[in-house]
Amino acid sequence: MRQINESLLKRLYKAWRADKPQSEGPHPDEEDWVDFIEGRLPAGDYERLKIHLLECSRCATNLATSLKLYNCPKVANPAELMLQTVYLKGDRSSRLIELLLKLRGKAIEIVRSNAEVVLGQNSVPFVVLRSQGIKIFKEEVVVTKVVSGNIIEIKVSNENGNYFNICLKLKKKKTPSITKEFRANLLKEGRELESYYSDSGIVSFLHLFPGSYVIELYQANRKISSIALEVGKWTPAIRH
Amino acid sequence: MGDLDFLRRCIQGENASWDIFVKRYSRLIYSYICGILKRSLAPELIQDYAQDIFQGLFAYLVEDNFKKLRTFKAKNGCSLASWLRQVTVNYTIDFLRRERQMISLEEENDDGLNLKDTIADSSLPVSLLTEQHEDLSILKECFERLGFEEKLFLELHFNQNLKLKELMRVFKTSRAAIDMRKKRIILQLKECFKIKGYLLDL
Repeated sequence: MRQINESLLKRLYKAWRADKPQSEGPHPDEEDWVDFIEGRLPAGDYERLKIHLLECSRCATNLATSLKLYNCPKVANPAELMLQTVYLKGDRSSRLIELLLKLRGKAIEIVRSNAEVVLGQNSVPFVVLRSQGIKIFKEEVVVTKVVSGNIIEIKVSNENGNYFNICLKLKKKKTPSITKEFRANLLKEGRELESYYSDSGIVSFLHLFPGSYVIELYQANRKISSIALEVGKWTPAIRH
Repeated sequence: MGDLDFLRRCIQGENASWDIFVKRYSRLIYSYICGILKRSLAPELIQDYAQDIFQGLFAYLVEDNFKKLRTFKAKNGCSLASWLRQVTVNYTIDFLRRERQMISLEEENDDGLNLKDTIADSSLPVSLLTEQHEDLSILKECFERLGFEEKLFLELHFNQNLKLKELMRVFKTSRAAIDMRKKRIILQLKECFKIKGYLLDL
């Protein structure tokens, strides 16, 4: 007689489960799941959620993850994240895009970013590229981030290692059309340096010195995003 | 002051209340995000992803005039901290689902878990062929015969990797009762497998 061990039993179960249809919603909300876990749901709702769990892998995964987080050790969040959260406090409607760069001769190195980097036809999160050791780009980098239904495209080009240029483009997320009307303000140390209203879908800031900048993007007088841009010059390590 | 009153003040734009919200809950949220990522990602990726998710989550809570925060109703006595835990879980796992094309699903962490386990996806093919190329599909019928509670037990234990002690909360029962339930299910499956010519060796 052939033997089935626990590992094979699990695979059998998963194969059987994979053939089952999945619930397409509506899904119970977060409070329902908390009350489910903490045993506060009325009996009828409790049974309803159990039935949903068997029909919906997404909710089952979320519930299981939540259960595993009980007694999760607390870790301190980095100070810079607190600053960003404080930033949101004063500007709750906008999203922050971070872009830390270094000019390296004619190339550009991305040091940190929460945006996606455009490589040919694809956009790849920078964190993924960095894990693969890809962080230096020839002459220019293009990053994108989806914010409030728009794709914000930021092109930074290196001008001989001394200056850089920024070109901003807004596209609608659902259609490839360019969002023509928006305003972009360039700030340094809280002071506005330049401000342009675009009626062509593109705004450029040219011949900027390395330093810390903030670019604020507005649509119909509503701020949709801020870009925290820090550009430094690469200095080679000195060997003794 | 209750959670709802406190939240109302944040939503109404009271800066002091928002400061308290950030101080009180940002560490909690960040810890939950890291807790989930530890199960899914290589250590060198965790911090970058955690920062991106943390920032995105805070923006999600406040965007469109606090649309998400306004959905908190404290139903049945649900606390704001517990609600935020579930919001964080849902947001983080949805984020990972979106990213899963980009990162390795198979790379395991120290706990032997990988991203594929964390974001269970029923569309992933599961081969039923053993090393001897034997088709075990006939055994699937044995799962079909189980009752609803037994199927849910297997779903959470086998597919979602919940430990037996974690299942106590789902089934609102004691550890001994959970152990007993597992034994009963295994026994039921053993009998069914035996009829089909297989020995369940557990």
